[in-house]
Amino acid sequence: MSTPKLPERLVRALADIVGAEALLTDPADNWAYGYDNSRRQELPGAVAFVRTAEQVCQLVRRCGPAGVPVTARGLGTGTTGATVPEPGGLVIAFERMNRLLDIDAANRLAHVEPGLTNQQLQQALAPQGFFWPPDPTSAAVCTIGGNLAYNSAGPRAVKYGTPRENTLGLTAVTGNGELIRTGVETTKGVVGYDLTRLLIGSEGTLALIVGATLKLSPKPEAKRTLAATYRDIHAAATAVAAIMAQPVTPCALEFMDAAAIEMVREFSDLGLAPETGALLMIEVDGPEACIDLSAADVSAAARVPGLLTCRTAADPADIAALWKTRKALSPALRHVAPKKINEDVVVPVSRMASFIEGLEQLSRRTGIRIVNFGHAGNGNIHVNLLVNPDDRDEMRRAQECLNAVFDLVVNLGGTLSGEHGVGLEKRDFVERELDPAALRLMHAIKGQFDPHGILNPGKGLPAP
Amino acid sequence: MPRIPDERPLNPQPDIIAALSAVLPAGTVLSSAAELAPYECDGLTAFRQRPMVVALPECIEQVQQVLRLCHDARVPVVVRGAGTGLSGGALPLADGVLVSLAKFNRILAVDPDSLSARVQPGVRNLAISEAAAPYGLYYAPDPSSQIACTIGGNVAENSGGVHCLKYGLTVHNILKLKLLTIEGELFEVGREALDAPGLDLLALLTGSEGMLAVIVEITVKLLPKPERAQVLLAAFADVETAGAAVAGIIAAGITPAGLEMMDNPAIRAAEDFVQAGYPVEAEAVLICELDGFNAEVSFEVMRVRELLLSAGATEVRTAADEAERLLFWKGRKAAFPAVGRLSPDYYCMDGTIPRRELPRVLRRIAELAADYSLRVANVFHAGDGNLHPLILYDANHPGELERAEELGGAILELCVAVGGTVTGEHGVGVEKLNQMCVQFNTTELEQMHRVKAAFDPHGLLNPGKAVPTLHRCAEFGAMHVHHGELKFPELPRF
Ligand SMILES: Cc1cc2nc3c(=O)[nH]c(=O)nc-3n(C[C@H](O)[C@H](O)[C@H](O)COP(=O)(O)OP(=O)(O)OC[C@H]3O[C@@H](n4cnc5c(N)ncnc54)[C@H](O)[C@@H]3O)c2cc1C
Ligand SMILES: Cc1cc2nc3c(=O)[nH]c(=O)nc-3n(C[C@H](O)[C@H](O)[C@H](O)COP(=O)(O)OP(=O)(O)OC[C@H]3O[C@@H](n4cnc5c(N)ncnc54)[C@H](O)[C@@H]3O)c2cc1C
Repeated sequence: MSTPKLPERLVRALADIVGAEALLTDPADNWAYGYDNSRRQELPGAVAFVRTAEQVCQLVRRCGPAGVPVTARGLGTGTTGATVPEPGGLVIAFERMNRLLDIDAANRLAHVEPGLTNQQLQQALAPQGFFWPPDPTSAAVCTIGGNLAYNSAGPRAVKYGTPRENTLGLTAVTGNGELIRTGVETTKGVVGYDLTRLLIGSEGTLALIVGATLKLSPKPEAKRTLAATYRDIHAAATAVAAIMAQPVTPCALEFMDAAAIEMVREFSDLGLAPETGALLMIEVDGPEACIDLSAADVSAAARVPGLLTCRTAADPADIAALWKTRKALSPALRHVAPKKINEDVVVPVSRMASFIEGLEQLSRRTGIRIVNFGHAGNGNIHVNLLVNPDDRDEMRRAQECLNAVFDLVVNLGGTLSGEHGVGLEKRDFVERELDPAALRLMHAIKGQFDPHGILNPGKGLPAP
Repeated sequence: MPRIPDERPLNPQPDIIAALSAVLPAGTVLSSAAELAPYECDGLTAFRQRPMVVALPECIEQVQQVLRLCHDARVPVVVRGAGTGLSGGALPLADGVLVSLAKFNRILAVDPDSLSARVQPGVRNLAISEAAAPYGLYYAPDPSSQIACTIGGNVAENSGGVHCLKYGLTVHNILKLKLLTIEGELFEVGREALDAPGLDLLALLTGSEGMLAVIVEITVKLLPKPERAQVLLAAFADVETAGAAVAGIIAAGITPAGLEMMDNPAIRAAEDFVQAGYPVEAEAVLICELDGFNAEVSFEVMRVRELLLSAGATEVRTAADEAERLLFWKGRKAAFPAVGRLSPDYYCMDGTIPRRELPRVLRRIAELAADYSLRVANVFHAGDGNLHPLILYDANHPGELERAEELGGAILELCVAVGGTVTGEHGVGVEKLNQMCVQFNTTELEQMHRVKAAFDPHGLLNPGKAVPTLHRCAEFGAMHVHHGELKFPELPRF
């Protein structure tokens, strides 16, 4: 496959904008910026390391008329291919535009540049008693820009929401190379259209984020961890619904199904009773003075018929012991099926049990082992198909199985992507879920932000 | 005197009346002057305009037919909920069709398992919480107009309320919308589960003031009712100290369910009116509500009490029982009509500022009021920094109306200058078009027009509202309450 080359004149212009030392053009260097965590890779024509919004405007203005595709890049940890550039296109890398501009405690907000990592932000906020709620597991190695572009979240979303609920405003560069500000500095404000939320989750296809005003949350004083085991997924799902229907919202509500527990059990003895059919890990946070009462309320709600055990821990050693089963899962998965297919889907909480049951049937029918875990509080489930990519017959059955999984999700009123975005991986499934009219409007909006069609073309939405 | 912001040349096409009558049931197409009169304004009574015709469709198919007819004939359409909007969003157009969704008033389903309810757009805000109450659930956003305003209007305005400090605006409390494009095409956005793929059209459509699409069904989130709510009332010897106390509570990591402030003129007026037991000598009071489960509330009441005292409160009272809690709120909720008794006319502003700027802005508002020789009373959502200065004036005194409007403009510009915004919760409508020019630059406004064009290329849905045209630079409009002419006098104000 031959990669189109960028014209010499354009390359010189780009170098003038960011400085020669901040522009990579050698394919050997560029390769490192052509992949993400989806195992896809393309060779970009150049990689520009920007430091200012003005540089981004100028780069985009150059690329637009030339029709050169532009893909923003944080740290490339995305799992659905949205960070993979067009062959021969320009990668705008934000990793050097990574300052934390200020933290404003009285207004509970922080101004940041997009290349700051999630963890750097959290470390700076902690001494002031705040945190930014979105907590992807990849916090140490992913950027705020990537979090915003993918609307990435983690366990805390059940209580604190996703980046959309935790961002007040953005500064961004449209496909015309124009700088716009969206949103407000205040927690309230209904002026014009909500472009902030529109840009969040748009996977770099509408505008490039060059600054963000983030809404901060006060760090809770104390936390309690609960582990509850159930006879089957029905009992666990009933417990999840009961927990979510009482006033204490947990800050994490994670689950593992029978197949996941079974898999962990093959590797280590965790002392779980053999009849254990589902595990819930629950955390509550709040003021020290009433944390035990909150934990008691949640534990009471978790006690539904079918409960086997329920334990609460406060000190670090006990907490670590409770998390042992859950933490053993990832290594076990890596061992059994290093090339597993991991899909991130969401179903309404009330239909989680039906979903898991449907997956069990699919697993029996296709002969593919399926292991499920995830954020039960908002129905966000990681469905893992354990496959060996070298087994062609198995891969064929896995494709069939995956197809059926997506149908099941949509039929249950769920959504195909919880937190990992659509990118290239799920693009062609989106049509099953979205109305044709909604899809048409999304394309029309894309056209209005990016008239040259250069911003991360082909990502997120199926072709019109 | 009608004050119409719309800059389009009029293009009346009365044929549409017959066309509508042909597709809608008898009695649902109104066109006589008497029938049209109730629709000539919303809560912003300074702007009035009779529509050419009002249509009252009863089902989605009928709305589709109305839209198709209007689209084909290029007749502009304005949608109306209850008409309680305070920025003129539902102000009709002389050559347009006003589509009232009053007949869409059914609650279609309450689902306690998934904590959601599916409702038609004309359902009143409070009716949702009433329907959810048997399950121990409620719908959190609570605009003071909640007994009258519709959920469709709430979505279109992204309305807030006293409790949005903790529970968020409308956008944070809805899951799914069914809408019609101006061509009459039905589409759905959002999902019962979190985060649908693709662009976040749900958020884009929320707060779009009826300019992008017509909302015909809404799935809202329901929350479990808090176990307990408790209120503190704190008095201060000056407004700035009270403002600083607000910032102190928030910075200490507490998120009250509501945190409201009233200044002396407002306190006195409310006390005279409803005898809430407010300290009338105080220059300012803060009303702080904490809710949650029992233990948490007890604990936070203690902390907030300490914080208020150390911030300089001269007195802090905790409501002794539910009756007193409601009484403390009664004074607050009656503050607007109470202030109305102080002066023949008042003008209600709505701006939001970063909380830390509260002391400075309040001082500056007092200075500005003195400069304009007008009185200003302040009653507002302090926790969000959402100001509602009430400018008192008498329209019978020559020049006072104009001075009040100028002062209003100066206050909004002050909000923007300290990093705030020109509307907290009442939307832009026709009222704040000019201030939008202050807040956003040309590129940003153009981008908004482009978004509109993606939905409505011919500009037929509520044209002239929310986003000013670039050449527009007319005088400020305002919400005026003239002698006894208060719309919705039965509702608590804000
Ligand atoms: C081990 C591991 C664990 C993970 N755990 C989680 C998890 O728990 N939850 C979760 O949600 N995700 C998780 N992820 C996925 C990934 O880390 C997140 O999606 C993350 O937000 C991506 O950040 P990034 O900086 O790597 O972005 P990139 O991968 O570089 O970019 C992601 C997308 O954002 C766009 N983009 C980046 N910066 C900008 C910008 N400034 N302006 C506009 N667009 C931009 C890119 O074009 C691309 O479309 C995990 C990944 C790994 C490898
Ligand atoms: C006494 C009083 C107190 C108030 N208190 C508050 C408060 O505390 N907080 C607050 O935020 N607001 C408050 N308001 C303002 C007002 O009640 C809200 O803006 C409310 O959401 C408007 O609802 P409505 O049904 O009356 O809408 P309308 O006024 O009829 O319409 C408002 C806008 O929404 C559009 N619209 C209505 N329905 C639809 C639909 N189905 N599809 C598309 N567009 C539609 C209209 O075109 C218009 O632009 C108050 C108003 C009054 C009079």
